[in-house]
Amino acid sequence: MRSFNIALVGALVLCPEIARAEGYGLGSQLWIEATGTYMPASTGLDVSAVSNTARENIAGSTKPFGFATGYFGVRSGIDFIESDRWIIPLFDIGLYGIMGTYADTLVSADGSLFRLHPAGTIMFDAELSGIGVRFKKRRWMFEGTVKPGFAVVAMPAAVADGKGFTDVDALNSATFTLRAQLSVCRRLDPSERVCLSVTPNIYQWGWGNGGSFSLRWEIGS
Amino acid sequence: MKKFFALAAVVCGCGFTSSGTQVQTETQSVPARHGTVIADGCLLDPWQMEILETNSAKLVIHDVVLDCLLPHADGTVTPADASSKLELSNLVAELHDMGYGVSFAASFVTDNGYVYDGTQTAKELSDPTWIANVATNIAALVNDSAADAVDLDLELLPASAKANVTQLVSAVGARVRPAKKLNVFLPPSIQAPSDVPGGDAFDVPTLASKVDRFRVMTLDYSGNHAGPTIDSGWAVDAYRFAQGQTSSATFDVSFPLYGNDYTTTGQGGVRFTTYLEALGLADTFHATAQRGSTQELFLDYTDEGKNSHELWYDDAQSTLVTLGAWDGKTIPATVGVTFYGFGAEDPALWDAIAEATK
Repeated sequence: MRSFNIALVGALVLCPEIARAEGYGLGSQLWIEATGTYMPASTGLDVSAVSNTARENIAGSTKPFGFATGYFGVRSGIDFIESDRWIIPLFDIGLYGIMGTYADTLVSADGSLFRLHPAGTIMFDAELSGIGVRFKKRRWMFEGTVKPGFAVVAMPAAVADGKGFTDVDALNSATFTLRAQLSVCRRLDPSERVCLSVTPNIYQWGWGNGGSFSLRWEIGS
Repeated sequence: MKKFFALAAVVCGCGFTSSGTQVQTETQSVPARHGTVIADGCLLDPWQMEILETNSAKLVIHDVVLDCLLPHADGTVTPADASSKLELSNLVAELHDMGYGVSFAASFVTDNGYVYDGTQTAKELSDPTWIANVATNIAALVNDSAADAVDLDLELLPASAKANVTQLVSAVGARVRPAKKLNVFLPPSIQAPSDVPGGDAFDVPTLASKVDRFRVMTLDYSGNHAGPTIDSGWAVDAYRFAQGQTSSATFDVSFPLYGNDYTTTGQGGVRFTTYLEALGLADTFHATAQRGSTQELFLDYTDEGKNSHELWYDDAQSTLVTLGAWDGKTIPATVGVTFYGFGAEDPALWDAIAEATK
């Protein structure tokens, strides 16, 4: 978090300076977006170091929980801009909560039964590096980026324990991600823009597994 | 992690919603396994025979074990009369015609046929002559009836009987193998020394070369305390513990087809019940069945004597949940399932398993 704050301050200080370069040299942009994301394919969840009265150590993974999920959250990041054309994403992070109505679901892992509580699911993701390009036309700008990263989903769960269930730490699943983001931006002033983006998931717990729609605010060159 | 969740929920500002507390079960797919049913006694009633004639049963069940043979203190084994033997031979032939393998289980219980008296059996096992006679008589019954296998059911033995148990198994094996198979019921230990009575009386590594199949008796998980008859994860641990002692044996895990009716007030106690009896009790005492976390059904009712009961029993749905939890990654497909208490089950069970196995 501290490094993020430093980067944020750095970007705010540097961006206007770099912007004076009038499209040449190295610039940067800071952005934050509200994102809705959808994944039709589900994932299995990892179980480790779980115990109940019947077993001291339950370790394994569930089958994919078997239903589509939608999330809403916030993502923010910093990009470098080279020659007012090439986007070199530095990093971004996002945090999301699941949206919609989900019934609790019974799954098994390592022979034991778990009750999943999908309505409490959160997802965290981060992207590092990548490449992109952008074009400007008057007050409009068009961007396209491809970024690798990773995502982690965490779902509250309880393990079957005799008559009832015993709560356990959330079950997790992590994945490599590769996303392509296409954006249309409208300039608000010389250094601020608002953008609409669609971001297909090239890979996220499977190939072509849904994508995101977001509204983004950018500041920078 | 829980704090992280709470924080994340606040950060996201998302409204988490759910349709309620109803638990949905996965669409169950059940791996195909070698299936065995154990029926109590030397006869099968018309209903049991009718079940065995169905295509679903033939898909799920491969062997029928008749828990029939009764060794006595004098070394004899019943049934011994000609009429009973003839009935038994006819039944074996009929089951063979249906395509089933047949095994006779010898239960080392008291002469009333119900009580496992480990101390008494251990004393009998200490006599080599008794072992030889019992082994010979068991072999004769199996051979005369053209059954395919013998199962040995020894329970509640002290650890000191271990060597003698091995001798008994060796003696029976010497008389029936390799023409017939020899299977042994194994207490569901999950640790050494064993956590279940009689668990230390079995020298699994030594027995492995002398038996064709160990049936890990993963039944009566809750013992004398009201609760589920089985926990799928506990059964996995019991299988793994047994398998960890020998890599050369074939195993079954067990699933109870019966229910347990616990009397929770008065004198207490537990009584075997059937699925249909559970439905009858629910109707008689106006009780509504609920599902426990393992999806097994339980019924709270108060009888005419004002005794409170908690009756736990499985139906097709809960059975599929357990069998589905034993996926091929958790328990290898070479491990079979022994269904104990044939005839006590939900009538829809075999069709459900057959469908889920496809």
